[in-house]
Amino acid sequence: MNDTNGTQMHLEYPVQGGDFSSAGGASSRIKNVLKRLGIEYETIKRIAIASYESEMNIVAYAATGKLLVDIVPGEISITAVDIGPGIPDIEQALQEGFSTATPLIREMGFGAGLGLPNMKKAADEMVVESTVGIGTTVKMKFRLT
Amino acid sequence: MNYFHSVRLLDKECKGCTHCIRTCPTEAIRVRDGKATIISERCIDCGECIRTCPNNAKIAVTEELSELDKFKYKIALPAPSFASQFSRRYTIEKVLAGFLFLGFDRVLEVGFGADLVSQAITDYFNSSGGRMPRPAISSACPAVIRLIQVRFPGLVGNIIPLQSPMEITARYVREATTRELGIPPEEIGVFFIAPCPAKVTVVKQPIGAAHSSVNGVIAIRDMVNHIKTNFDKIPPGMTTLQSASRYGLGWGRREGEIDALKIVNRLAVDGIHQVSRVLEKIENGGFQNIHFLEAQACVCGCVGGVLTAENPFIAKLKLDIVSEASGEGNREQFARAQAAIPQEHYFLPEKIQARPVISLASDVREAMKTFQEIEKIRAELPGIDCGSCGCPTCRAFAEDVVAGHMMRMDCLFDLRERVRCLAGEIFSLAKKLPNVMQNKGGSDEP
Repeated sequence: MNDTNGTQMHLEYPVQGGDFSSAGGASSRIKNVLKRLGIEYETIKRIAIASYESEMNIVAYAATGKLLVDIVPGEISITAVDIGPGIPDIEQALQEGFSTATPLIREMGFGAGLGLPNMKKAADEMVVESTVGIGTTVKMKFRLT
Repeated sequence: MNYFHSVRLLDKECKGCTHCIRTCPTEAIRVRDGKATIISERCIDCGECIRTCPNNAKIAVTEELSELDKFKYKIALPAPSFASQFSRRYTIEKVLAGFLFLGFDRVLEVGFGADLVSQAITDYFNSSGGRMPRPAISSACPAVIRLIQVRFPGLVGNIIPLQSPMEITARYVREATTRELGIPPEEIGVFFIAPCPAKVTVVKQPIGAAHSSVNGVIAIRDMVNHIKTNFDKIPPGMTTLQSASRYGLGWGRREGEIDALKIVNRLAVDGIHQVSRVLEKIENGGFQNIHFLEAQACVCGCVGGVLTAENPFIAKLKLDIVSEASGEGNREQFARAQAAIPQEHYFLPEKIQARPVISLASDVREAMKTFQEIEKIRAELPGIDCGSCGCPTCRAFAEDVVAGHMMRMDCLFDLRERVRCLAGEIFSLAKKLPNVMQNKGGSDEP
């Protein structure tokens, strides 16, 4: 799904919940697109961290989801949308070290309670919206210099 | 900028088979007009294509022994991996004496320089280097550094800004020779005995420095041949030539570097494709608990370089045995060298620069336009990356079409589809008869 005049772009990458083996694929593809577009490395680094963490959150907690990338002049936004359990207390989830990870998730090396805080640190702006039993949407914005 | 490459293509041997295009870690090879071509700015001289080519059409350019004649005083610097190429019959002392028999005036193992560099890295790490982004990546493998410059430009800041053991050894021995024997530096020829083409390239075109202290590079396998054929004629050395410790020699194989460093949380990864995967993860914010990463382009480390003669796994085993036996090395010489080398010599004089070659245009907006054109074509391609068009992937093909290097019909599947349509049209045309010849039914008879 692409815009025609070249000044904006929209990309979508599906992410499968529970699929730890191919996890990281969507964020790697996003990163490679940004490298092709010639975005500065510092910004790519921040986006890579944020999109990887979002992808891992979908893999670890949700049934299914996707990463949406929107590029407009001066700004890139990454939106992680999932169908899943949702987050009952967003404030709490944003605190470093807070985690609801199951032993299985920890076994896979995740669930340290750093995902959302790291995303917030990496992004210039972040908004989390969630409905328990339905799903979560995390929208992150990255300003281009 | 013009890039020097040790890795070259022998046009007349190339059959255009496309084996190499898929193994190249930077997608630097295309097959056009039935022959492979290497895209200079992408090539990192790792030598993967040399390994893969079934027709030996890829080679690495190194120097011959006759190059020595250009210098009055010749010094051989065998890489740590050199010691892995011999069976027990060939003792290391006599192998090193072989260099003197073959026309060198002095020989110093690069393993000795590795001992010095190990100490320098440890010291750096325990001072200002401790603030480096994690993981800090070793600067020893030039193919890995170039891989980072080209494909992972955001990670150049993770590379430890210290010289390689080869450079430290070369500068030290050249200066020591001038000091001790009064020979002017320009009359001294320093030759590195190398396991891989990346080392040849880094001597001709250093990274993070304007020039190298090494004058020429000779392939390990050539030197091994010379020494083995002359072995029985080699007189024993007058003095002990071996000076590297077990740790310095160990640098020639996987985990050698991390064994030699007094740094906690170290990790070693080998093989260019595995290294790429790890770098990919580091870009995603991973490996933050690792302080030091040893990354080597060749499987098993330098002993697996394409300019070696022995099987990498056997070579690694042999190096384990040889290095074990070398113990502490020449501690007295080590102390002398450490006192002679000023601290700043260990540091790269220039910053390592990124060399991003994958961006589609210099302007983001322009790149977005191009990207969308590429995506449009890519969506129509079969996506099986068969390589028949001479490009490593369907995406690379789409990029080449947009760049004007390829035509849409160079995709075999596309061509086949067009031929099928054309055949169908011809077939239906063949069934049609001109109006005058058509039988309208009923009786034609008068």
